[in-house]
Amino acid sequence: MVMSHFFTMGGYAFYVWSSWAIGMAILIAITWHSISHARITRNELDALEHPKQQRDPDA
Amino acid sequence: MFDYLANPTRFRKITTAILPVAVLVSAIALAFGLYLAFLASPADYQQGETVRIMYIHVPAAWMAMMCYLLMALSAVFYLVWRHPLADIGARAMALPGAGFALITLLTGSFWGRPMWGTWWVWDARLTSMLILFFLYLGYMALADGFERAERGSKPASLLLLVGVINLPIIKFSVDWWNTLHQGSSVLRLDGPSIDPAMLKPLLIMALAMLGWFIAITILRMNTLIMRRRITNLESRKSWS
Repeated sequence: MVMSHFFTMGGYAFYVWSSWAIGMAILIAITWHSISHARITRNELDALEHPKQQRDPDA
Repeated sequence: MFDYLANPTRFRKITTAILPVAVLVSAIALAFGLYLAFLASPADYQQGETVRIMYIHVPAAWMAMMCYLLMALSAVFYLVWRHPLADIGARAMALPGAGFALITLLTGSFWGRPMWGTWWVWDARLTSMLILFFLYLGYMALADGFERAERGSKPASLLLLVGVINLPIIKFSVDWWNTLHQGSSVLRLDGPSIDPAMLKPLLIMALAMLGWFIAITILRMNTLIMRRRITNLESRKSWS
């Protein structure tokens, strides 16, 4: 496929690239949400299980 | 198998081994799938380049339906054997499942506009897919709608079972009713009618999404297990 044709998608660039952008954005958003949630929960659990080892966040 | 995995430590051990494999498979399949979808596959003779929307639209639709089926099976395990891990599994799959359903609906809209001349039509295929999306949202609202998370498990599992009726409706809607949506070209009794050059990117993209889905489900299940542990520790603390 020629480079310019790749970007214009035969005149359907808006529809093709929007679809892929939205799809990827949703997958990335769910990934990010799941990772940050896991991290927050892990910290919370660590703090409960080892209260003395809790580090000072400002240190 | 559920009994074997029931031990949370063992579950974490097994899943932390699977997770990087799933991520790796997903990443490789995505790279290869994107190459096939955009560079190594032809434009459609009728639909031109818009056919490239298919390589995200169709695998997402498959995943949305498979994910719902897995959640419904988990609901059976939970309702019959009262297995908390089955409930946690269903809860973990709900968000990625809803994501797949939303991707299907939105990419379908962006495909329908240039090819059918409309963003949306209230026909059987599109409406039943929208209902699947709402079932996911309803499940999440019901499962998380109680102060004690476990109280939502039973009604939410029942909702999953009732909603299973929607799956064959989605699958056969294109045969049972007149619709703008095209018929099946992959999962047919007489074998796929789609060209191999287009089937390959479809399957590879489906593999990429499956790997992603497994990784995300493992991650979310482990988070939910930790969350239950936090709840237990906190309630123990408040009693002592």
